[in-house]
Order: sequence, then structure tokens, then C-alpha cells
Amino acid sequence: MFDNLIAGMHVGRVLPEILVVVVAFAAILIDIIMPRGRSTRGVQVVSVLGLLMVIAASFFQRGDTGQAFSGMVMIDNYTTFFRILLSAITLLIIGVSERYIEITRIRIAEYYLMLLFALFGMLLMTMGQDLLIIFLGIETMSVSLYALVGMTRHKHASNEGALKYFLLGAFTTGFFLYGIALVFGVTGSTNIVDITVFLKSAGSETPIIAWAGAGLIMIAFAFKAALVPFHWWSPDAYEGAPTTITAFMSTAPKAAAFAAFLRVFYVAFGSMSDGWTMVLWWIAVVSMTFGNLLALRQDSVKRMLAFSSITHAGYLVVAFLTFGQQGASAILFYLVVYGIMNIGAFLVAIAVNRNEDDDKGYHFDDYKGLVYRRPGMAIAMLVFMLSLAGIPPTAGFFGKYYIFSSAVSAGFVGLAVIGVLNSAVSVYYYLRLIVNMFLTERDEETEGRIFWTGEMAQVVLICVILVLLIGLFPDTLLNAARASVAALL
Amino acid sequence: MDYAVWIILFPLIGVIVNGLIARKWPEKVVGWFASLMIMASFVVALMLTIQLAGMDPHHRAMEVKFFSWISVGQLNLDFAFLIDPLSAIMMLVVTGISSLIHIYSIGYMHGDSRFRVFFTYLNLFVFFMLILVLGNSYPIMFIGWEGVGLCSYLLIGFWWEDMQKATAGMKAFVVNRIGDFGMLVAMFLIFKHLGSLTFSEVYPAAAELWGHHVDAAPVIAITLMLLLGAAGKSAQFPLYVWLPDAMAGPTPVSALIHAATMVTAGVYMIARSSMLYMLAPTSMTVVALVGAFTAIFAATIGIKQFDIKKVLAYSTVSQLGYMVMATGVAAFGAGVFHLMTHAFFKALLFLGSGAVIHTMHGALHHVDDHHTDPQDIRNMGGLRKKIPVTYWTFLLATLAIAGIPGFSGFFSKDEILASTFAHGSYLPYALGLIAAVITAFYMFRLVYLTFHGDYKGPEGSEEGIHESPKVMTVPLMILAFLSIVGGYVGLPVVFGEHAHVLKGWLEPVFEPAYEAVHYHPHHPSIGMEWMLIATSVVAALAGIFVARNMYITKGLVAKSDKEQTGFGKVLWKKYYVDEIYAAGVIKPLIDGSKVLWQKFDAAFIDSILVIGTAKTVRWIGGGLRKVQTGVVGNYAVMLVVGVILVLAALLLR
Amino acid sequence: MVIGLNHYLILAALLFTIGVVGVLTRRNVLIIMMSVELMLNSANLTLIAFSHYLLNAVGQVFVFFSMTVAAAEVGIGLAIIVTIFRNTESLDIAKLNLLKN
Repeated sequence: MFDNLIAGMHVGRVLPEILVVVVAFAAILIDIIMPRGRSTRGVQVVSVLGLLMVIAASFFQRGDTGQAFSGMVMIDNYTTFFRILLSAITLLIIGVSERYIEITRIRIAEYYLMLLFALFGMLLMTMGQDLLIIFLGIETMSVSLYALVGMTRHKHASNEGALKYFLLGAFTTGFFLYGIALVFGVTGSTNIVDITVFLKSAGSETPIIAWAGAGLIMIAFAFKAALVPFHWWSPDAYEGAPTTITAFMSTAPKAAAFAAFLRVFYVAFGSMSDGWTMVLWWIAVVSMTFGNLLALRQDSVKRMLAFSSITHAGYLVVAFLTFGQQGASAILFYLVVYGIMNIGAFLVAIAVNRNEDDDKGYHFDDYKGLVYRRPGMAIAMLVFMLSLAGIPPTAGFFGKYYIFSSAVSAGFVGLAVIGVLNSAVSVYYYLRLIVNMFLTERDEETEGRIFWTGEMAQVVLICVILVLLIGLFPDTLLNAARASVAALL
Repeated sequence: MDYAVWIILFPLIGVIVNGLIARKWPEKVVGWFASLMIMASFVVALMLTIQLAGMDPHHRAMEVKFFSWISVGQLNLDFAFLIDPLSAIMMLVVTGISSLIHIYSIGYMHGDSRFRVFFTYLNLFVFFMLILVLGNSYPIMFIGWEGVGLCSYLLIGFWWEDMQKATAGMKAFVVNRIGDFGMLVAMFLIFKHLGSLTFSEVYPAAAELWGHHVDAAPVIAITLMLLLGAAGKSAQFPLYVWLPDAMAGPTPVSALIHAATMVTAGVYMIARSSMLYMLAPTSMTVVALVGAFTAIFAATIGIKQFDIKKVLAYSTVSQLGYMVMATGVAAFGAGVFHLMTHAFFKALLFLGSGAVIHTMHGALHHVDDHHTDPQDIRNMGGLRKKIPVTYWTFLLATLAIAGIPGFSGFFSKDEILASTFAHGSYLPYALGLIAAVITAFYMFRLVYLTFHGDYKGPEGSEEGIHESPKVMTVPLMILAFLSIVGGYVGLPVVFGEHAHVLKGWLEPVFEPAYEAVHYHPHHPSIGMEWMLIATSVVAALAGIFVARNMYITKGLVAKSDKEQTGFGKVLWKKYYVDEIYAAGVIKPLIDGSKVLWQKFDAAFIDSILVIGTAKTVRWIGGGLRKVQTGVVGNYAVMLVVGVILVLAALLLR
Repeated sequence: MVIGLNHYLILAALLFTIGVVGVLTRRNVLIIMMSVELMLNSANLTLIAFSHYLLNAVGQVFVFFSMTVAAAEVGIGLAIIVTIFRNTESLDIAKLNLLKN
């Protein structure tokens, strides 16, 4: 009997997740065994190799699709897409971290552990077919992120960002859990398949409690994806966090949040779409606009990128509320593109930043005449900025193009117009950086030493190549996104 | 046909070599290498055109596919070029003029510390411009469209030591984004309604869908959005504001990008989309009016400018207005014809002005005068004898733009006016005709003040004025030749049925659009044609006569800034457009929050339409910033407000 | 009076509201954390009540997990509070506004 039970769990299908946990514990062991000074090196190597294995395992396992753990999780193309994306982002971040945590005086192996645990949580979110798994995934990710934001313990900004993120995050967890309870009460299940069946048969008779539950769950996702008006934590947490973590937080958790958001709302609450698309219409508009207007007024590049990440989340919602295959694949495409260009931009920002201990760092002035000091770096940043602004032939252009064209095809012409206008406004602040790099003189006063490592150079180069490659040949990635979405819908 | 790819590969090689490899190469090698690449590209363009000419006139179009670009669901795009009579004209103009301007730049940019970078940008520009005119679909065109915008921006701000110039670049880029917005929305709508973005599929589908029901709402929306794009790129009212400022860049850039090639992209795009426009007569009327109004509006401003390049800049805006007006009265061929002749004579005018500025600069430097503006025509005069080659070529170009019979500008401008009249658009015709008088006037004013009369520059600086080197004057002479003969490919009907070679050449491109709505281009009768020609000639001569009377016979000297009065002052101030934007948009905001203002009045933003809007936006951002208080308690309150709003929206659906 | 499902639900809703109000009105970080705990536990109560009346154990299983999660959150929260107290010697959230605008 137990044999049957175990066979029905299909443990092999969650191999990548198991690997992540194994790598995390191996890292703990190494940290304990090796002498204090040298342990980060060992942890770094193990994490990088482990993540490569995770990506390989996800890739080779892509054919073996189906449920596991009695329908608690679902492994399909959609899961595979996000497994690879999220593990790759984590890999890039871990790859450049070793020297960075030296200079920021973090210097502890927990940094790696927390990243790996956050990855584990995110993987649960993307594969969860039960609200329980999604809840656990979100919480595992969040708890790790709270710790990561506060990693620079001696810095006030880091403490404060962590506290704000933690308090608001825990607060939102309350709403989330309450929402799950309400949905459970109405449908008698927390399983997405069962909920779908129940709500579909209920049709227009869907009880009001279910609407309240769906609303509260939506709020939790909106919070994790940093959408206005649930974004309040994000600029402060992004600014306070170590910058590698900011790069991580603005890409991977956002992708994971959208992954779960899509699965829950497109599948479980799909029959309620006319209600939630209306709410998301407004969320999209205010997110795009608010993020843009505030990004315009920042003097810190790090904070500008933080606000612009709210805008980008708003673009994603535009595609989300089209509630169709085209929109969903546009989201997946854009998440990949955004991940690449944003990580690249943050890495250059780390490199140029004058003084890591300076709370007022990351100033626009630091970039004056960068092209004359570091032409390669300036050109890389130019590519990232053009891509973020959505100018062809970069990947960012196609990302935006698919998003807004999916909105127009679904009949949301007004929203697409607002989106494109916002994207025109955003050019202004990305351009400001380009002006500083290419069209101003060097200013000895604002120049600091450049922090640049071989690993950073490699990752930035990879990002530049990918941004241009996807910009020139977008269809490989888009077809992958479409195939993944097909599994979902 | 496979060799077609070389037309863009040559400039790209130039970019890569000059950008990455040629770090240690001497100036001459860099310049000539870049020029040779463009000339090679020109040769390819010629070969393609000859091959095209050998084909049957009704099937004169080749699609050269390089690779399958995007293939996703319904969207199938190849990276391919469409080589047809229209794009052939464009690629010849682009590569031909670029070659000459590259060579000229070797002399003009001599000694500049960033010589190599300049040529890299210039090659990159040609690369993108060719993608723009050759692409077989809207997205490929858009790649070129954005690419040339970026290059233009980099080149306007090329001499960044001057903050004002960097600002001008920024202004150009941001205004163009407004136009791009129109392009993008138009693309979405085209794809939504017609299911494709490739020219060869879009136009038949549009004819099928809307052919029996012109002026459908979607096609009006599409064409107006495209017009917005064209207005941004081709500097039409009210988005023209960036072009005069763009003259801050080096003069060869003004000649190439902001006169001959890039700014005509909007006209090209409208001509390319002729099918869509024919299906939307309402939009056509708007196009014609925008063009005509721009033509006269900019021409009047040109009367009172003193900066030699500013005069030419407004004249460019005005001439672009003519081209847009032509497309608005379904005379697409005439628009393209004027685009071509204008490319010749306007490039020549700019290069000539560059030679003048170049030598004035040297002369002023010679006497250690750093206050006198080398571009102000009130400091010139009598240069005719000192720099004869520049003078004569400049004069020929002026005769061409003024519309004196026998010169290229006469033929194309006359055709536009005649077509407009025959089309029954009398208001645009009248505006165009008046603009023609004004054009002749301000161009001759420019010639008289610059080259005739007495030298008015600082004492002693006269000695420093010399003719430019051969590398600069030879391109001037070639362009002068083209400015004269360029018009003979389009002789009016009065010289015979087939005298208009260009019209016959372009006919296959526009024929389907005319057929879709059963439109027959109106031809004035021979007698009427003669009348119209005579009117145009009289208009041009009248303008010249007034200018001669004022500046030669009466010997009037242009007034200094302080003496400007009355309507003249209004013109000198460019209709106060900048000030109006300032007063209407910015002033109320300033009063509201003076303190906030001074703090955030960032140095690199000065200007109006865009920057005025940008400031408005920034100001709102400032208000919103106060919401992000940093106190977590406030965040929690606002989060709960969000929760209540979302729940209320869902529950009270 | 028979105590039924609705009584539990109303009680839970009231507790949840008290928790929300507590978060909104208190300035001490520890009290805010306690209010959040109240919210979580009212949600747990809702789950258990539904579970009992629907004769479906899933809700109760869920509560086991959510309690564990809550414990983990408290752990990390206290750690953050300790570091912040070391640096600022204050637990008043109104004074923590270095990061803003």
C-alpha cells in the first residue's frame, strides 16, 4: 500500500526542487566545516555548481510532465519555463556575489543559504497546484527575502528596509491567509483543480464570499509583485537592500509572483474574470503612471530603477488582464527580458557606485562622462537603458510590443495607449543616464573607483548579448513562452 | 538579388571598423574609409536600381528575404527588404547624398578631437536610414526609424561641451518619442484589423476590407496615428519645435540628417502607406492642411531669423510642409519628387552655410574675437568675392529653392502646387503659393545679407576669410549640378505626355492605391497648367524683387535684436511659440510651487513643448513623492485603503 | 442558543479587524507584530470552523502549516528588530523614515 502511495507521489518529478534543498544544506555543512575565512569561497562554488545542476535537471526533465504529490503540485512546460528562469537569475546573482559581500561587509554564508531558500520558495510558487503549496512557497520566499534585505546589519538603511518589508509583508500574509480561508469555505477545497470545477459550475451564482476571497488573494500577489497601491514597501526595501539583492528582488520574486498569480487567476478564478480584469485595469494604470512619475524625480539610480520596476510590473498587468494566451505569453517573454536587462543595469550600477558604505550613493552624477573612463561599461549600460525604455532593436522593445499588441488585440485599446504613453515618458529618465554617460564631461569630483570583477564582466556581457540577441531574434523565446502557456490554459 | 544585403553591410563594416578597430588610424584614413563604405553602398544601390529598371514596369518590386525573423502565432515577419521604385529613389538619395556629405565632413571636421567617433555615428546613421527605407514591413521600418532617431540625438549633442547642444539633442529625442507613440499605436491597430504588418500583405487586405467603405473609423485612426509619427520625424506643426534646435549639431549633420534624409522619413512613410491614406479621405484632408499650414508658418518665421542655419532650418520645416501637403492631395509622386530635389538643394545650402561658418569662425579666431557670432548674418556681407565657389553654388541652390524655372526646385514645387490646385484643395494651394513668395524672399534676403553689400564683421577679420579646401568645395559643385539637373526627370505635362519620367517610374507603386478607391489623379488642362506655372514664377520673382528692393536697392541693414518691433518682432520671436508653451503650461505650475521648482529645475532641461510637459509631469511626480513618506504606519494605512478599494470594486461589481 | 458556523466566522472576522486596527494604530513594532499574529490566527480560526462544518480535514491541515509559517515569520521579525534596536535604540516605527520619497 505504501509502495503505491510513494509511486503516486512521483518524487522524481520534483528533482530540481530536491536538488535546491540539497545544495542549500550542503552549503550549510561546508560553512560549518571549513574555517571561517575561507568558507564563503566553498559555499559559492557549491552553490554555483548546484544551480547549474538544477537548471540541467529542469531542462532534461521537461518531458516528464504531470501531477505529483497527489495533485499538490503540477509539473508542466509552464513550471519548467519558470524553473529555468528563476534558477538562472539566482545563478547570475550568486555568481557575482562573492566579492560584493566582501566589500559590503556581509561576509557570511547565510547570504547564499537565504538565496537558495528563496529560490526553493519561488519554485514551489510556480509549481503549486494547491493554495497550500503556493502559500508555503510565498512564505518561504518572503522570509528569506526579509533576511536578505537586512543582510548589511551595520547599515541603518538595510535594517529599516528589512523592517518595513517584513511588517508590511506579514500584514499582507494575514489578508492572504484569510482569503484562502474564505475560498476554502465556499469551495470546500484548496486545490486549484477542484476550485476551478466548483466556480465554473457556480457561474454567475458565485457566492460573494468567494469574491472577497479572490480579492484578498489578488492583494497578496499584487503586494509581492509590487503593484500600486500595494507597492509601498518596495522602493524602501530595494534601496536598503544590498544591491545584488535588489537586482534579485526586482526580477526573480516578481517573476514567481506573476507565475503563481497567473495560475491562480487564469485557472482557479478564470470564471470570475470579468470582475478581476476591471480591478486590474485600474491597478495597471496607476502602477505604470505612479512608478513613472516617481522615477522621474529620483537622484539615485538605484531608487530610479526601483520605481521603474513598479512601472514594468504595471506593463505586465496590462498583458495579464487580457486573460488570453497571447497576453500570458507576452508576460512570460517580458519577465525573461526584464530579468536580463534589469540585472545587467544593476550590475553596472554596482560597478559605478562611488562608495558602498555611503547611504547617498548611486547618484546620477557618478555616471558623468563614463564613456571616457569605461567605454565598454557605458555601452553596456546604454544597451540596458535602451532596452528598459523599449527602443528597438533591443529585447525590451519586443517585450513591450507584445504586451501592448496583446492588449490591443483583446480590445483594450485605451489601456494600450496609456501604456505606450507611459513608456514614452519613461524614456526621459533612462535617457538622463545616457546623457550623463555620453554627453557630459568627466567630473573628477564625483568619480569614485570602479568596482569591477571578472564575474561581473562575464554576467554583464551575457546580459548585453542576450538583450541584443532576443531583440533581433525574438521568436525562439516567444515560442517557448507560448508553449509554456499552452500547458496552463 | 542576394547582394542587396551589402547595401547595409558596407555602412555596418564602417561602424565596426571605425568604432572598434581604427583607434590609432590617422584622420584621413578614417574619414576616407567611412566615405568609401558609403560610396560602395551607393554603387550597390545603383546596381539594384538598374536591375529594377530592367523589369516589367507592372511587376517592378522585389522582396529580398534574409532570414525568417519572427514567427509567432499569426505574426510572421521576415527580415526582408522591399526594393521597388519608391525605395529605389530613397536609397539612391540616401547613399548618394551621404557619400558627398561624408567627403565634405573630412574637411569640415578636420582637427576635431572626436573625428573617429563622428564618422562612426555617421555610418551608423546611414545603416539605420537604409533599414528604414528598405524594410518590407512596419516593424523593420520602425527599427530604422528609432535607430536614425538615436543617431540624430547623438550627433546633435556631438559637441557636448556646450550644454545647450546636449539639451537640443534631448529635445529632439523626446519629441520624436511622441511621434513614435503614434507609430506604435498605428502598428497595433494595423495588426489587429489586417492581421499582418508586411506591406505586401497589409495593403491588399486593407483594400479588400475598406475598399467599398472608405473613411471607416479604424483606418482613420490608423492614418492619423501614422501622421503623428510622420509629424514627429518630419517636423510638422506642432511637433516641429525640435528641428530648429537640432541645428546645434555639426553642419554636415544638419545637411544630411536634418535636411536631406532623416526628416523626409515621415513623407516616405506616408507615401508608402498611400493605400491606407486613400482609404481615409478625412485623414488626407488633415494631412494636406497640416502640411500647408506648416509650410507657411515656418516660412514666415524664416523671414526674421538672423542665424544662417536657423533660416535654413525653418526653410526645411517649410519645405517638408510642401511634401506633406502633396501627399495629402494624393500627389504622392510629387511629394517624393520634391523630397528628392529638396535633398539636393537643401544639402547644398547647408553645406554652403557650413563653409561660410567655417571660414567666419576662422576669420574671427584670426582677430581673437570670441564674442561675435560666426553664424549671425548681420556680421557678414560681401563674402561673394572672397569665397566665389561657395557663393555661386549657394546661389544656384537658392534659385532652385525659390522656384526659378530651369532649376530643380521649380519643377517639383510647381508640380505640388498644380496637383493641389487640380485636386480642388484651394486653401492649401493659396497657403502654398504665399509660402512660395515668402520662400523666395527670405532666401534672397539671406543671400544678399551674406554675400552682397559690405562686410560687417569685426575690423581686420576680413583678411581671414578664405575659400574652403577642395574636399569641401567639390561636393558643393556636385550638389550644385544635381540641383539644376535633378528636376529634369519630372518635366510638367506641357512638355509631353511622357516627359515626367519620375511619375512613370513611381506609378506602379501608387497605382493600386488609386485603383482601390477608383481615384483618377486630376490633371489640369494644358492651358491651366501654363497659367499655374506662370503664377508660380510670378510668385517667386515677386519675392526676389522685394528682397532685392529692400537689401540691395535701398541697402537696408538688418535690425539688431533691440530694434525689433511690431509684427516683425513676432516673427523674430517665432510667434512666441516657445513662450506660449511656457506661459500656458509652466507658469501656473511655477506659481503654485515656486520652492519645489527651483530645487528641481534640472540644468539640462530648458525647453518647452516637451520639456514643458516633462516639467509638468515631474511636478506631479513631486507631489506624489510626498505620498511615499517613509513611515511604515502610513504605508499600512494606504495599503488598507487599497484593500478596501479592491474589495469594494469586486463585491459591488 | 446553538453556537453555529456563523458565530465562529463573525468572531474570526472581528478578531481580524481588531488585528488590522492594531497594526494601523500602534507605533511599537512588537505590538504591531502581535496584531499581525492576531490576524493570522483569526484566519486560522476561520479555516478550522469551515473545516469542521464541511467535514473536510484539509482546513485543519492547512492550519498546521500556517502556524509553522507564522512561527518562522516571528523568528525572522524578531531578528530584524534586534538589529534595528542595536543601531537606533528605538522601536518606534514613526522614527524609522530614513528611506523615503
